[in-house]
Amino acid sequence: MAYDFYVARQTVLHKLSPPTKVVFLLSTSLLALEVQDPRVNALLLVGLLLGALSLRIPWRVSSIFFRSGLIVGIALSISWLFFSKVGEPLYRLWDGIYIYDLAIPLTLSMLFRLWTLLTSTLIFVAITQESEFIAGLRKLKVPYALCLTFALVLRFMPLLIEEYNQIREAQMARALELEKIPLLERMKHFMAIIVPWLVISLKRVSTLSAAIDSRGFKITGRPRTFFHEPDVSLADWFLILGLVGLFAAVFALRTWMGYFVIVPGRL
Amino acid sequence: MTSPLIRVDNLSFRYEGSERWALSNVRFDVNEGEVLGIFGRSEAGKTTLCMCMNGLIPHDLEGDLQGSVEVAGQNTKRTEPQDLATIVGIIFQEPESQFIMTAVEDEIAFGMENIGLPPNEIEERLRLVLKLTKLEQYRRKPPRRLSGGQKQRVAIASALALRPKILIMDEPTSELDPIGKNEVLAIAKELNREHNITIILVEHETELAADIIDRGIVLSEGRVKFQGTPSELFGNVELLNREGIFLPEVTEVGYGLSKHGFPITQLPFTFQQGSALLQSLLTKDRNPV
Repeated sequence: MAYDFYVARQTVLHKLSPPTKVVFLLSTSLLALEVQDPRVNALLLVGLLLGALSLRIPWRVSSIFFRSGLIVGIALSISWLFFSKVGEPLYRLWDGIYIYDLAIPLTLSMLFRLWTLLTSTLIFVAITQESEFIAGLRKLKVPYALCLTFALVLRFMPLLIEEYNQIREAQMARALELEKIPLLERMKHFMAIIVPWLVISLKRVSTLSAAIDSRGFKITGRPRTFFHEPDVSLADWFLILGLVGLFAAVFALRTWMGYFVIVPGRL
Repeated sequence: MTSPLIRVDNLSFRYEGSERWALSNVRFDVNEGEVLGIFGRSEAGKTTLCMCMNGLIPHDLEGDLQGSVEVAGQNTKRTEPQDLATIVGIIFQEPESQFIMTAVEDEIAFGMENIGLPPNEIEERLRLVLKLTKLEQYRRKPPRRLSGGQKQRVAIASALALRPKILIMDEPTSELDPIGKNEVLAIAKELNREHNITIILVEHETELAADIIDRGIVLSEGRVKFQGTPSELFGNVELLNREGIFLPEVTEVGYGLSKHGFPITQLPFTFQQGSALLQSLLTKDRNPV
């Protein structure tokens, strides 16, 4: 995937077919969002963390997710714990600001959900190459034009970030101050990076569009073939079915029987 | 007499919203198997001309187009670039911007998938173009991990896989190091000499282009200022200087020597010609080269 998150190994997870990998990412992420009960969320998270550990993902890659999880997790905890008025007041912080009893499990649930999403994505990017991702989407009948759009995003993201950093370094080498100045000034100075970056990016888009057309790509009107057709084994189809079934079952249990919910009416 | 492969007839073009004509009354032919060099300073209209020859103009980039461009009998006004892809391949200046996929083989296969080739034929052509462009060992690598020269070779391979009759190379070496430049132009030369592919080469480095072109055109402010053989082109030093086109170093040396009274009737423009000239002068052979 972009940034070279892919970890080349021969694990069971790596051997899954591309559509199974895509369904794995979608189903685990949606499951985490479906379930509000922190105990179930914790269970899902632990399972995924064990899966991630089994992949022996280099710290270079996992640290990006770990740091994001920590920073966003802190912000999320503060906002949900101190500002969720659910249940009975449990502890008075300041005048009018209380921690409510149901805010605690709800905050835990949100934290676990966030970490589940990150862990699931980490596993996905570690076991999936870009071409597999696109092949997986295609096999799941996602229209090719949309698959191509995803492919282009993945292809260009590292390039655009690299270019942004190059412009930033070039401007800083020309004494553009970006750190020890007030926020408003800093924002103004960022224009010196954003404007050339946008111009270069637009030029790239124009060349890319010309390159795509020059290579015979038509959205409609011409049947397209595919060089790589991903192999999907029977076991893969069973796994896909199992994951979709699990998602559907949890959805039904939550919607019609009220399972996995702590505070009805909340996400 | 066979009709030319490309016929540009009284072509004028200006971009939408622009007052200025990017091309004015451009007229030339290109025969099959020929290598045509297009020279001129920035904004001379070279890239616009290239895009007119594969239909990107007027289909993708709209504007006012007058006159006509016919490529292998197809009028580019009426034929979309997607349909010309199997006749004209184009290589852009910046290799990184023209890649769509994240692995060399997927990048090369992209065009062939678009025209609906079956996987076994894609594999066959893929192997062939990888061999032609000497990229076999990079088949599964991401293009972004390759050197500049290798990247341009991937772009060439991607265009070649569609088996075009014409390859347009729009400043393909401008962002490459000397090794990359040589790699790319050596491939272009081989494609022309061994596979009879017609090449349109836009190149700032006349040094490199001189070795491969059969004919040259000088564009200035959208007009053809000159067209002729390489010896006519590089013999016209005043024109090249006026148009801001660098002379090949051997031509410059020959020109300098001729100004100092050495009997040079024809300026050299390739290394071999320069070497022969100097040899003849050093052995006191004052016969014109």
